[in-house]
Amino acid sequence: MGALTPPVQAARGKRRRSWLVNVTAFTVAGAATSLLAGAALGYLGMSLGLGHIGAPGIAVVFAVSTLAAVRELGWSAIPLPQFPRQTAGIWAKRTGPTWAAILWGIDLGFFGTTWLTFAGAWLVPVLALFAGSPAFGAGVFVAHWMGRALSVWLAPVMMPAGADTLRLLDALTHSRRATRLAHVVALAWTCAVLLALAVGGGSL
Amino acid sequence: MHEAPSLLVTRPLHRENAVDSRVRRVVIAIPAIVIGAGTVIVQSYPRLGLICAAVVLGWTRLVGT
Repeated sequence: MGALTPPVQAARGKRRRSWLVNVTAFTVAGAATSLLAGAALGYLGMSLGLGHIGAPGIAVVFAVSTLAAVRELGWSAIPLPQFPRQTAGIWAKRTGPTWAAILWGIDLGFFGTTWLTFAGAWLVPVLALFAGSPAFGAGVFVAHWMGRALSVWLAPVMMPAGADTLRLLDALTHSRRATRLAHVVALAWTCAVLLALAVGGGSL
Repeated sequence: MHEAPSLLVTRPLHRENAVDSRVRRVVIAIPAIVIGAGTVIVQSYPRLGLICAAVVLGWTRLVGT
């Protein structure tokens, strides 16, 4: 977010336009790789016959969601498997801002190539796999990506006039507790939807 | 006796608090809107509830990115 977010309140004309181009490129590139990754996982789930298992599939996703919520509430120190890296900031110097935005989008769109931040992120590939549908897998991954990219689009809204990008990143770090709470609410919401699906006799 | 805090100290702190509370409001507002919409949608299309959850899970990755 930091690399893509200039203090746009102060920016006018060409600078604002280039921000729009870069953020659009970032969003589209990430959506494309998310779509591919989600569809591939959905296809794998379909090939393994996971889409037809019904209640056991719902139970697995429910368990992952519950474990992630328990971890984020601090009730258990379950380790979070993740790839400990960030996107390469050097790309902006080597390729220019627009190509760097595209490369960052491609990289982040693959979902698991960088820090996951919170444990519930694992729900996304598990959902895509156990739904056993390339279309639904792609939908879940693209939805996750859109939520992720939305933070870059809303960065100017979060910055009052005169605030700089570093200040915004600081404020985001300070908001970690609120973000974690929102994450846990999303996990609880997922469990409620899964229960509704199970009671209705449906499948993922 | 404590001295009154100088303006040089209180002004930046005031600005920091303003940015923090603004960011916190947006951080919480997006999940509230998405899950609120999901509550309506899920009654007709249950699987879309899971899509809404994925949006919020993606949104909460904004810390540390």
